[in-house]
Amino acid sequence: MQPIAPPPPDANEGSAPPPAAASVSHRILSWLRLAIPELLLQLRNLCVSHRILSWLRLASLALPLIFFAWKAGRIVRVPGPGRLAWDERTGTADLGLDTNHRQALFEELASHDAGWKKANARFEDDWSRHDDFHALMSQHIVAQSRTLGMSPTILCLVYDEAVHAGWVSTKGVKFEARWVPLKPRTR
Amino acid sequence: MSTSEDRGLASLVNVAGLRLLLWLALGSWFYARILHNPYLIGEGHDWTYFTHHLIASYRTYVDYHQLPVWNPYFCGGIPGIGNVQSMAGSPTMIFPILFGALPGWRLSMLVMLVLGMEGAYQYARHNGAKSLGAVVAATCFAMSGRFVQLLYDGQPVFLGFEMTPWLFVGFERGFRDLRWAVVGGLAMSLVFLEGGAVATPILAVSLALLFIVSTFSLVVTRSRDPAWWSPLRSLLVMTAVTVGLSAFRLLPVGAALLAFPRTWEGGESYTAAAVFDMLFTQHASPGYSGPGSAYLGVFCLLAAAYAVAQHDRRSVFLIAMGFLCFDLAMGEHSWLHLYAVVKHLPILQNIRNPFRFVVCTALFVSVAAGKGLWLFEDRLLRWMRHPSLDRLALRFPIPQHWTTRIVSSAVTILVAVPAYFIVSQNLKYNRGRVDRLPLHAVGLSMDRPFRQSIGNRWLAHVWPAVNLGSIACFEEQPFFTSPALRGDLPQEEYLADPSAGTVTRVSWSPTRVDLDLWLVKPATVIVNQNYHRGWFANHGSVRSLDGLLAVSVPQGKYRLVIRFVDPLVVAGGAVSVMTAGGLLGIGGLGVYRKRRRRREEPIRS
Repeated sequence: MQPIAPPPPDANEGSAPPPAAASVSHRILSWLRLAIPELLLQLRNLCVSHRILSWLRLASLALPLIFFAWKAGRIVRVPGPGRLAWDERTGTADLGLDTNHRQALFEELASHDAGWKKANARFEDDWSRHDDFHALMSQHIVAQSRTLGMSPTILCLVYDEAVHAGWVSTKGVKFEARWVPLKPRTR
Repeated sequence: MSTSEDRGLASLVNVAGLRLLLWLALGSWFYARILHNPYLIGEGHDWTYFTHHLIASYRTYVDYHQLPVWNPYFCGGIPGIGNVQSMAGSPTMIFPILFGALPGWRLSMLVMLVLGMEGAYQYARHNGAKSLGAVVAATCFAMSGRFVQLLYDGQPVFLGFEMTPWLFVGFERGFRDLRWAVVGGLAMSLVFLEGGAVATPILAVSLALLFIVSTFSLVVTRSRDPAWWSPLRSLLVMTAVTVGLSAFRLLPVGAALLAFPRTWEGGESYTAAAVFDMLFTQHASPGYSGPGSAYLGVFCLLAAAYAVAQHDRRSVFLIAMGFLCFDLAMGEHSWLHLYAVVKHLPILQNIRNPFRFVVCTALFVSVAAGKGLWLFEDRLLRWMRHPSLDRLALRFPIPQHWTTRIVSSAVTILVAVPAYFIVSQNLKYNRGRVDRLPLHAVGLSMDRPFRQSIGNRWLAHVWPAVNLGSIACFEEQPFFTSPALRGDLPQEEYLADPSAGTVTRVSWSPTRVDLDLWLVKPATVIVNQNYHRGWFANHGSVRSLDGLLAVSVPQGKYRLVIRFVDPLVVAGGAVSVMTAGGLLGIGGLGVYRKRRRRREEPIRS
């Protein structure tokens, strides 16, 4: 008895996927098509219902704080002006200048005294005359500090030392140690 | 599509964190020159004055751990917190304390700029400008010319004007929600505490003007919500919060102003053309109040005009307010004589610098411009949502919600073009001026025992940095200064009669001096500082000797402690603490009630 022959093979067998496999990929794709929007919708609902969005909004406040901290770090790291040393033992500031140099600076400053006083004679009251004297002195100090390449602080401290120690210049100039009481500005 | 919602990418600014990040980035870019050079100051004389007060306050806080109620570094000793021009009591002092005097000061300027942008944004939103329009309003106002000119003038305390939009938005939103009035009060107290000797009266007058106009419009329109009395209620709450929070400074400042009034006899007037030029004309060197000193840009004005042309009632209101401030800025040339009226009011007789009212004009015009942009955006959207365009869209296989997004984005891009022109015109000029700001080094510092020097007020910042006082000084108020102060004393604390014994300094700080006395007979100890009613001593009695601080003490060997305690600062401080505590308590209670309600809601449902 002849065995029953198997059915003849399909002409496309080997090139096309089996029907079962095709349906799986199709199912996966269609599931993804449906699932992704659904997932997004669920996520959105989750965000809304659990106030995750509110928390995210709140968390976003960290961004400006981080930026500010970064900016502050940059600004703080900028090298500052130098510091002068104070000698407790001698009670003097170390300006990096010897006494002769400081006195020479004072002589130079004092040499303008007469000119500045002459310039401010146009003011009627004492306060204005004193103030104008100091205005001219400050302009000179700033200009001089640029010329000499030193900080205006040094020149100011030399001026202070001259007043405090009562230095007298070779032309007999001695800076005043008193000031006229404050006069208000009304115009 | 709803016209009341933000659209497209511009809606990202609704997220507070992103918006603040934008403000910070913009502010850092705008003030880059002063932020990256914290140890340089401008050449305007007031730079040296305000730097002096900053360093003096910083030293008192950080080196001596005391409140700067007394400033021994200027004029031989003057009130610190009680000086209306000083920022010693400002909350922004926290930045110098944390980051160092000068870097911290620059950071506080950045923070004020950011607050200004956020305030203008909030005010623009309140007035109906949304998305890009509100951003443009914020940028135009906070970076307008006056906030550049103050760097040239050396008056960073005028950054208090950045609080202007917070005052107005707090006041107007306070009609319906008093929490906003509290916000307005907080802003006003910051203006005052920041050293707002000029800003406080000018903003108070502007606010009063807004109050009058708002009340009038509510009465005329017979509005029920908000009722005609809502502005009054809002203003009262704002005033109470301002007075309460700043009481610790308000009382000593008030006392000092009564004793030493800030007198201003000069008349000030500007023509309408001059005020217009301040706001809308560019100039190479504008000067104190010259053309371009409050630059906003013509494009900004055009956008505001567009809003008015659209018959937008709110924009008309804003422009009307802007005009009133413009009129005030003209000073004695004022068309409506508003400035003359203000000068006749109590306390305000000595108001000065009317041109500073242009800050308020700049705000109103900026907000109206933002509204104009929003209206333009809205109109574009209506055009693009035309049925014929919809039919065209249906021919393409694009989902409906995509079409909406494409249209929104297209509109945003179209609106970005005028927005760019408005903002860039403003920023190119104003930022360019910041970049050209001449700066020079601030000077050296030193830690040494304090003593008075004759000093020099034109280089005022030099002296406190090296722990020296500058007897030579200038203040707008004629604070009492003794003619007997000296800059050449071997000892700052000495006996009137040297034969009575010896005085040795044990410790010194701005508000406390400890001295060891060895006296063979009753004597008078003199301190080389000005007398003030706030000085107290643990022995003997404090008095004024030729204007100097003096203590009549008995004989013996003991330690004399001289303290500066201003009872007005103490009393005001108690009021401020109670106000702050009360506000925090009310706020906390509100949050607690809100949470409890939320928790109970699901149970009820």
